[in-house]
Amino acid sequence: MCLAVPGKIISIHGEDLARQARVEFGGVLKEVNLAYVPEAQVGEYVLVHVGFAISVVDEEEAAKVFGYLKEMGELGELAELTPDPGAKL
Amino acid sequence: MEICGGQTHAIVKFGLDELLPKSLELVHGPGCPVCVTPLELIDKAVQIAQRPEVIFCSFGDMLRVPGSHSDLFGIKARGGDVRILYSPLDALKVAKENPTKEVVFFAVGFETTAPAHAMAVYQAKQQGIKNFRCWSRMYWYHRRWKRF
Repeated sequence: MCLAVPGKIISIHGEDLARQARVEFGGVLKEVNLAYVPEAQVGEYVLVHVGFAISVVDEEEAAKVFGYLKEMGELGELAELTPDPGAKL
Repeated sequence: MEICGGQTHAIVKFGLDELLPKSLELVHGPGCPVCVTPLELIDKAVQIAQRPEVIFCSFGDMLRVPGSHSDLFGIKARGGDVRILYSPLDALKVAKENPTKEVVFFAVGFETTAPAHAMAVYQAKQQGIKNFRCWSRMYWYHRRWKRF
C-alpha cells in the first residue's frame, strides 16, 4: 500500500467523483478512481495509489518509475489483487 | 533520511549504504504506516476480525504485522473472514454483496491515503450502505518531517 504505481488510462467511464478508468500496469488492468485528477484523459499516464489516481505523469517518467518498481520486485501486489474478473490482459 | 522501512530494507539488503560516500549519513526515518502501527492497534484489529458478524478488510501488508498473540493472517487461517483489498472502494462492493455482515475497513495510511478513505466513506453515505465501517488510523507524515 505504500507505493504509488504509474499506469496508462485505457478507457474512462462514470462522472464526477465516480469517474473511473481502466488503467494498464505492464499487462495488468485495474479499475482506478479518477475523482482527484479530473483533467486526466484516455492515453495519459497517472500515478495510482490504493485504487486512486493522485497525479498525471508524462510517459517517460511513468516508464522509468515502473521499470524501477519492476526491478525491485514491488509489483507483485498488482497481479495478486485483481478484484475484477478478467482484469488481466 | 529514508522515509519508510521498505527503503531502509532495500538500502541494507543491496549494500547501498556501503557504496555511499562516508560524508553522507543515513538516518532511519519515521517508518511507513505499516511499520509504525502500534501493537495495541494490531491486537484490536485481531479481536475485531475474529467476530463472526465481521468481514475484516485491509491492505495486504497489514496482515503480516504481528500482534501479541496472532497476526491477521493467523485469524484468516483459522477461518476468520479477513479480506485483502486493493482499494478502499472495494470494501463498498464487499458490503453491498454481504448485507447481513458488518464490513470493517482498516483504514491505515499517511496523508496520501486519506483522500481514498474519505471517498469510500463519502460514497458509502451517498449509496446508503449501512454495513460499512471505516476504522480510520491515519498518520501525519508532514508533522514528523517538520520535526526532523
